[in-house]
Amino acid sequence: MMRRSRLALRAFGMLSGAAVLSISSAAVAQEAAAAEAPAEASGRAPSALELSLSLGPSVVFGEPANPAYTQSFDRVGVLASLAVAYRSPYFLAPSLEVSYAALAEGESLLPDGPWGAGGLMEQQLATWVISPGVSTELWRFRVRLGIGLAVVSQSYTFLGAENSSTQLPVSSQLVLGFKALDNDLLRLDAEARVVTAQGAAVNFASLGLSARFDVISFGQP
Amino acid sequence: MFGDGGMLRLGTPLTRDQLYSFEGIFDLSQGSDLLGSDASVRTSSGTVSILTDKDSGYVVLGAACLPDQRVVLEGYWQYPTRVKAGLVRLFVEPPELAVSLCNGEVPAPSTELRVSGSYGNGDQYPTMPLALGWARELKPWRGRFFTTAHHGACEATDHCGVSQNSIETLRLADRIGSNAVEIDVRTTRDGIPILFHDPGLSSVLVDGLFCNGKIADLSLAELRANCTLRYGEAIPTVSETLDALIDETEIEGVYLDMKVAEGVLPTARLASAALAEMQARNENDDPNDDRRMGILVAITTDEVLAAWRTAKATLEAEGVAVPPCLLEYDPELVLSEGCVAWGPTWTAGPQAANVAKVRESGGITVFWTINQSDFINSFLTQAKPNGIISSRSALLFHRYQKIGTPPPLPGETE
Repeated sequence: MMRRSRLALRAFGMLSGAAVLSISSAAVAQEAAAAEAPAEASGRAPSALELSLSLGPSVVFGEPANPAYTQSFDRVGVLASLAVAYRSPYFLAPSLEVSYAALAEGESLLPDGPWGAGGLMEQQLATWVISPGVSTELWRFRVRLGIGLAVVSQSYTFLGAENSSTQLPVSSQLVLGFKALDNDLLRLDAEARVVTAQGAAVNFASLGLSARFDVISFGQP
Repeated sequence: MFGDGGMLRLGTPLTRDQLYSFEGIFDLSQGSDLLGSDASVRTSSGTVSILTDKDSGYVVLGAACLPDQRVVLEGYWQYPTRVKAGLVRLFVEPPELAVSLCNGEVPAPSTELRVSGSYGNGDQYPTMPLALGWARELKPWRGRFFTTAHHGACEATDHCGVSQNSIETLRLADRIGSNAVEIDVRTTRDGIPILFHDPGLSSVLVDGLFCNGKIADLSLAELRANCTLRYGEAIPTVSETLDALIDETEIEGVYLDMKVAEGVLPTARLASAALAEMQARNENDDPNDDRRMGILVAITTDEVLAAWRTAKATLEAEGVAVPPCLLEYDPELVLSEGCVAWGPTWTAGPQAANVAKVRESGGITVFWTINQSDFINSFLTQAKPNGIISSRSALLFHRYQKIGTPPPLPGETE
């Protein structure tokens, strides 16, 4: 059941990743003029509490430790995130983002050993990332830098028994967005993201779509 | 090592007894840039090691008699804290001494013995001159002073090509000056004692995409399937480690640093079984399989002490021999707990009076963990301990040889 929902999530993430390219190229032509106009002219308040939702495929770096045991291994996963940002009239906008990434899964065939009987072991690697940060916009580009905490979750199923363990390493992430669509209600960004949780040696990249909208506006448009 | 196997592949390895002939303090007449003005030479099975206090450097050599009756010593040199190593090839002089070795004789150490040849940098063929002459015998060290490797031959940040707390690093420790090892013990979720220092898996110590979490949360199967140590070794169990130390090294002492209380009883069982196996080997009619190695369960905290008391009672109730223990923090408790050794931290200073008190009561003292030459000097001269844990075995061994005092044997007075 869990595996099926992961596959569905992953497929959805792939679709959103693929959509990034088509939406960004189509929307660029239509929205170029609007995007270059100042916020006041577009009817948007100078500052606001902005909510954003992102989804896209991820690729995790690194290799399984024991190739001799590895039966299968998939490093492509999916990342979903929710962020709240204060879009200020100034250069930098503070934000808080919570992301979840189902990063990788694999299967290993373990021989008999000092651990007892061998058998098939399934592995899943996932992480939550809680990341305060700041972002800034330059023309259609948006750069966001965050440093926070990752909750790395490693799960195994071996001989019918499930087990998991978590670690809490410091994480850092860099997100580069390209504004593909911008109107009074919604902004759509194509996003590339690199996340590193160095203490756990979990590093991954993601390409996705981000939808942003104001939930509370401050000041008059 | 030499890419083509060097000259060693052409020769007949010297016997263990012949290797003893090389042990001593040697003065350098050439190559002091590499090793300083003098060096200690000690041997282990199949290996002649040159140990210095210059950058904690060491030379690890194999020895063989060549078909032309020369004796070659060949291997590598290394400074563990720097990315510096190279090849070494030496020949035994004078020729008559080489011939006597090739004839299977075991010459007594003497000032006649010289080894000379060359060393190089990296993989380059050795061309820089290196020559050493035997000057005097080593101070007594086997069974007397424990140069104790700190979770193996090197630190995780060193460049030795082996990972800390691996079986491979313990084999190397035996070749670069240690005659005892300190290893860190934790238990897996399924209760198996393993060697690992930290409570959690991190990229500093392990590799593997699916190698994440805490040691106590994971089973041995999960760890072994998904993690390797930094240089690709398996995370060893205590059982595998004791077997390897007994069968593959000449290590004389093991300091099992108990990181978690849950590990005390299963580790004490393994230590007891290993000691019983060695005793059986020593008591049988075959002198070739004799083996003596002390195993100490190190009590590091009050929690571990409570677990030790429970483990001791359990083993006694089962009629199993209780292995000896070492207590790290309180010299007064060492004897009252029935331990044979005290393991103080160096940060409290040499504590000469406490060292003497423990010794008078029949115990030994092994300080942890001293890597700096100046501190090693002051502890050797002021505390005169039975051993020191260090990540710089070559440095410690040579400093002990130069300024240390051999600790008295039980029953001896200083």
